[in-house]
Amino acid sequence: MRGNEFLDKLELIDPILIEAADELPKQKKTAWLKWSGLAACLCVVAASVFALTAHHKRPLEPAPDPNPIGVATDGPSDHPDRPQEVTSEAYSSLEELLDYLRDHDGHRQSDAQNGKGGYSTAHAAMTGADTVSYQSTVYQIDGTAGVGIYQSRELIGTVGTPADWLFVAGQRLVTVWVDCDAGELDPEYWVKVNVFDLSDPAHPQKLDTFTQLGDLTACWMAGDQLYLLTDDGVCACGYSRLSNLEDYKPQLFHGEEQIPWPEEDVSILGKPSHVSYIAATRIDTERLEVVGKRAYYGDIEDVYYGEDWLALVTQTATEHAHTLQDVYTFNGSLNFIGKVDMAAVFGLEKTLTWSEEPLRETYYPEVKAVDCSDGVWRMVGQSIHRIGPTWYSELFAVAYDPEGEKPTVQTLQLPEEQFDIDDVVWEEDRAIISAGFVQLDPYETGTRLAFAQFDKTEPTLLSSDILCDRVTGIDMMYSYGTPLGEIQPFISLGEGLYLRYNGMPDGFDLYDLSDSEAPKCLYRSQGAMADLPEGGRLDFDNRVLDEHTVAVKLIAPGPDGNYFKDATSSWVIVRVRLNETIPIILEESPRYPVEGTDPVTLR
Amino acid sequence: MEDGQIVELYLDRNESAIGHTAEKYGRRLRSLALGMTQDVQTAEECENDTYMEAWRSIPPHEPRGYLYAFLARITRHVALNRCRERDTLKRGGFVRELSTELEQCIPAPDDLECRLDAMALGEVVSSFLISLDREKRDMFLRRYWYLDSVSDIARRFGCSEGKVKTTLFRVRGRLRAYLEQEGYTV
Repeated sequence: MRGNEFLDKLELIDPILIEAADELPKQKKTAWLKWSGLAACLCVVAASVFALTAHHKRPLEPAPDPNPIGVATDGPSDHPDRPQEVTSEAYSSLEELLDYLRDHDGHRQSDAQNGKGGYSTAHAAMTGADTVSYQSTVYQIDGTAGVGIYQSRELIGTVGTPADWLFVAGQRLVTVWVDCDAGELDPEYWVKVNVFDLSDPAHPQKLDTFTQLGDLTACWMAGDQLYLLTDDGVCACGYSRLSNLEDYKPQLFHGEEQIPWPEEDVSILGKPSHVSYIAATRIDTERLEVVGKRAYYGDIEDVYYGEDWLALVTQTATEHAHTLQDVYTFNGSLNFIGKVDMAAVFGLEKTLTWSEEPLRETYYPEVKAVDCSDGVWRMVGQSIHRIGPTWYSELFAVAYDPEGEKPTVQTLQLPEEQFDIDDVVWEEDRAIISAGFVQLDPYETGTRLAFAQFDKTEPTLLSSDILCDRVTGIDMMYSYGTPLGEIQPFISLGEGLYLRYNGMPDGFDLYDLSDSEAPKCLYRSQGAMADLPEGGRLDFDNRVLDEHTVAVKLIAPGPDGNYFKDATSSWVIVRVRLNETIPIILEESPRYPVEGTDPVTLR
Repeated sequence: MEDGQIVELYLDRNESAIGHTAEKYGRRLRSLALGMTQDVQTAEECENDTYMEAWRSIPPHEPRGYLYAFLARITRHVALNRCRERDTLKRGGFVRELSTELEQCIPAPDDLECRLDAMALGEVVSSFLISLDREKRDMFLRRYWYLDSVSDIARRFGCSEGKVKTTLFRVRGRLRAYLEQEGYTV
């Protein structure tokens, strides 16, 4: 029996279970959410009044396209009636967009179009963690109970606030928590940010709270500033519509006070096919105030960000057709910089109907990673060139200087006809690309390393002879298939030296990738640990302690070999000794329990 | 109208049975088909095909206590076939993706001979699912019965997509082990 037959026969599962699975999960509503729900209702009324009065102040004629491909529009607006940041070619106000979508929703077609398909190229140091430390005190998320406070590996207290992400900035502990009210047709999400003072590290004192409507898209710290991105929206096709589209406007609270979100803080990206937005907020955790915010309405598919930039990739897929991507770029103040239209970059038609696609030759470029360096936007991706029933993949790299001419592009075919980009590592002037492939005849899987070198606005793509194991997850635990953004197989040791997970449960490869034209594989380990617990596997959670030492989480199964029950985890130390015959050593002893231990303190 | 009364109308060959079915369950069935096919017109066609198939199937079936599940099973079957027929880049690929995931549950996927009949397979998988906790069971069914996307499941359960993927991967592994342990070869 094959998978498709198995899929068919699952229809014979007990009907009671099927009915039960169609019920919405019940989740306990927290006290603050009840309060915020009431507040939200009041705010919708207030916002409606505001919107009704504001609506008549805005021009209803569609605005001209402010940003043709590759043309920068940074700087003061020449149109006093329309905020420069409203980037739409078609709509002059949010009200106009919502009025249109009320009757012309395009139906959601893509899984990624709810704004959740994004992943980030942010530097690891900016992103939150489940364990952070301040001086000698460790703070660790402890399920829904709150955040455990540890000193000398002993639990000494709890911050009684649930959290999904933790940050330490200066003398502040910042927690980010997503809560959901799933008891309605369209679940309502709220993200809550709490800021604590760490003057007494053992007893954090809560200073302030910020609450924003929507599910968490991304959050990161740049200095003292927390960037918080949430998404919300609805496919208003009649099957899931909430009648009041006013519900799909951003809402932000500082403590119990709602912060107004005027039209000036809204951007409309292109021609959205459904009501969906990402709300971005900058919170100064030292001054305890919101210092910037902007809501982006559009068919946002992917989100990329860095310390002082944000890129949003839009793509529309309706029941009849789909478009090629647009990449909208924004600065650290969340203001619009410019747009890259992939159709124009490649000289292709913008829209392709589903019905004609299988019938003709098509070329479909898809951005997979975005970065910004010295004001130049750099992108890498892959194209699918379909000719009848056959197709092949191609790498591409794009460089875009908003102050320069059109974006420049280069393409490259790899020895493998079909591949998927599994991982992209950005460095100052290049990207290291892992192109994973599966060949059926003869059967072979692997990853070819390639490089996108950027000389300011001139990209150069280089293939290499290096073939690595294709790593898509942890055997017997999880697999992502194409794991782009899900796992990071490379661990940078600096100076172009990289460890890379390989197919062994405790295996690493060592690469010198300092020269893109002559990358070297220095060592491939076939299991590096002398006393690996039976069934033990390295996790992708790791911390670089110095240029020769990395702490990596190790997961060991329970007594019956079960990874799902009674599994344990600990930190092991990986030491790299370049001049030794065996340059990679894993030291598992002594085992440090994960709980209450920040690996940075293990040196 | 109660499910039992609607079923009686079918058994009496009273055509108003279809109207009552549509009134009570039409929206849910259409929504189910829309989730699978992602196409409004196709979803409506699936809904209509469901009524026709129900008319043909009752009798001999008499789903008094599980009419919605009975109808939904038909809708799922019709919608899956539509997805395969249409086989557009997105939905055809999606069904193939689900099939590939489910192959991990099959102890001997290359064995073309089906040694376990469909009814028995339904019972075995149901027994396995009952042994799981509610959240894992529902995640599995949302993915492989209702064909929800991972992101939709994450939203439904208020958790991350990573958690959904990890849970599904583990449940698939456990189902495979369960089938092997019970001595089934599918």
